Amino acid sequence: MEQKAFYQRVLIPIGIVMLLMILSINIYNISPKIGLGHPDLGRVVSNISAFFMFISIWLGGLIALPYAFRAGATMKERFLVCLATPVVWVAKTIYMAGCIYSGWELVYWSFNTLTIGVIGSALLNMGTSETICRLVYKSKGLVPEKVFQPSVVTIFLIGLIIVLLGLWNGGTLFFYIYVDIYTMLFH
Amino acid sequence: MPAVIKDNLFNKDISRRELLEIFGGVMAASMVDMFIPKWAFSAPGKRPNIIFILSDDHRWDHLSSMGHPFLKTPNLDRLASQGAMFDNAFVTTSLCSPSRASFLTGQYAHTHGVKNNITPWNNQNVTFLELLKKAGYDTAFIGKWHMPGEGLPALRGLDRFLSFTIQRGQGRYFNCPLIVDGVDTPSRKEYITEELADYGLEFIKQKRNNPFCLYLSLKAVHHRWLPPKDLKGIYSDVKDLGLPKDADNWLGLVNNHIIYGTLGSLDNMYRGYCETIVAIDREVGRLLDNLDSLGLADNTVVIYAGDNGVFWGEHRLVDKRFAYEESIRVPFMVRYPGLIRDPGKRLSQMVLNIDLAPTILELAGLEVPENMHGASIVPLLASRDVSWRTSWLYEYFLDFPYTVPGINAIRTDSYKYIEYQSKSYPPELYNILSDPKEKNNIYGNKQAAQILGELQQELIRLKKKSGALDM
Repeated sequence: MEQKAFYQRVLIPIGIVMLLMILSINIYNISPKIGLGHPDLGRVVSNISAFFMFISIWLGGLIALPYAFRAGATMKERFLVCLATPVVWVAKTIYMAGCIYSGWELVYWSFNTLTIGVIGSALLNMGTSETICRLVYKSKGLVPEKVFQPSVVTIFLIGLIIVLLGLWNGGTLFFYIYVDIYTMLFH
Repeated sequence: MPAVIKDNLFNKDISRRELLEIFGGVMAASMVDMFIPKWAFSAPGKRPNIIFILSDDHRWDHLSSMGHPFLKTPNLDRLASQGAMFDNAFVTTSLCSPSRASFLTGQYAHTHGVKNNITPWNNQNVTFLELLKKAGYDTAFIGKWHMPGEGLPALRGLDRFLSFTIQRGQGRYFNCPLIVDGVDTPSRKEYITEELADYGLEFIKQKRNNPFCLYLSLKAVHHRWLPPKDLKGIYSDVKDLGLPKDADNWLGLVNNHIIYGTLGSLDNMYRGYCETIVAIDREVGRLLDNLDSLGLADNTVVIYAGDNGVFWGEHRLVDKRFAYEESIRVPFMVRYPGLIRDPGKRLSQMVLNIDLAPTILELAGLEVPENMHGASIVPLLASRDVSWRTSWLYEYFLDFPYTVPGINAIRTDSYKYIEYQSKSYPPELYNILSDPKEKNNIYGNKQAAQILGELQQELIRLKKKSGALDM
């Protein structure tokens, strides 16, 4: 399969999802103001923007990876493409938490349900998307690699475990373990 | 012959010796009063039984008697119509553990030490249950303890202590394993509210010579808002839930709100919340019916309150903690036929969770310890003309991992001033009377400068008075 230029392999796939995230977050944030004058319009805008915000942050890998795959991105590049948007979002979240927590507390805070969940979801997306792309392109005879390569399966499984753990019992299992460890470390 | 003082004491001739004897008797009687507690003078059976029902996250306006658009709470309404409802009841910290400790101790969180859901309960804390036990009451704590610390605390003065520690003390709505007087015990009833009410009723029905105090601490209506099976879906047909216009269905999933466990659409979670309140109402009704059939209703004080409120999209928030009305305002009602002569009355005075302990102690005829910050609401219940607080201190301490900074606020009858312990959160000032939904922050307005100064001074005074500045 032809390998396209770096910006096509990496920057464009990342840019599409990142742009979607930035636009949807900003539109979502102004939707309450729209709703003040036009409640129905405000509700429509908030629902649509929230949907795309959710897609871009939690499922961005499913959009970005096929672009990168088709552009001939390497495995490392595809990994970067899938994780770039979630990492930026997590960084922004940690930055905002920095006005409340600091030092080691902030470091530990960075491993909360939300941030770990987003990263886990990105890995799961990558594993899923990568497998589907391999199946499709393999069937067309475009890629020589195995469909179920150990690295891809590992990424998929790690992502799946993190997501399941995060959602288990409505998210409470991970949360209580997380807070228990915090209590041991800081109190 | 002894000297005689004539025309004295009911026009009866009386000798000096007799006069001295009478004087000595009066003095001795007054000395006895100094050393024997008040309750000892009460005739047995006169001291009231006390039932305190504490729900979790039950917001003040979620009762049909408070005008909720579709929620039906006939039994809680009955409690209010047969007693007194406080329209302005608040918690001094809007978070489960600190608020619960304040109900028990009559103290602010900065004094009892349970500042958030992590700092542990101090076993040296004195609860009103301990004081009631010393005064001869039979006492029971049944239900959610949920305060930080290793397992359950060594609470003094309890004849029955039933609780749970699973899920960091939050318990489970279905088949929750219990700890009954220190013994692990499987659940008998599937649904937690029914289970706890059953244990409460068992305690009430015990044969006894002493008055009793039951502290019934419910898990409901905390997150995950799960009603019993027969009530699930009773509000699924309600189209207009009355949620704020600027709230959307995704609110539980954005702005880090997922940390609160709000996985799902706001509408569905809210329906579950209302259905779970109906389950509480049903059990309160069962309890009241039993008091009637046992002939205990007239001499039993029943108090119902919530440990804090909750946001359902107001201010684009979920959960609680912040000092806005939806978070800090709770239902608070008292039924006691022996004291409340005008049942069904609504009281507008600002009462607090820290008022519960002093109130119960006064009702039981006990002295209120000086280290309690709250005040007894008995004079309000008895319709006595009494001066009442016009301002109070709200405090919130950082609670990991939630991104809500520490808060100090003052609430008066007409204003609220909020200070955050983070530079990223500017202060807020609201005129509660003209802006009850607190949408127009007038902090920084020139017209509000004078009231702002007064509120800031009052905030410092309240902190000093309660010892918050010493912490």
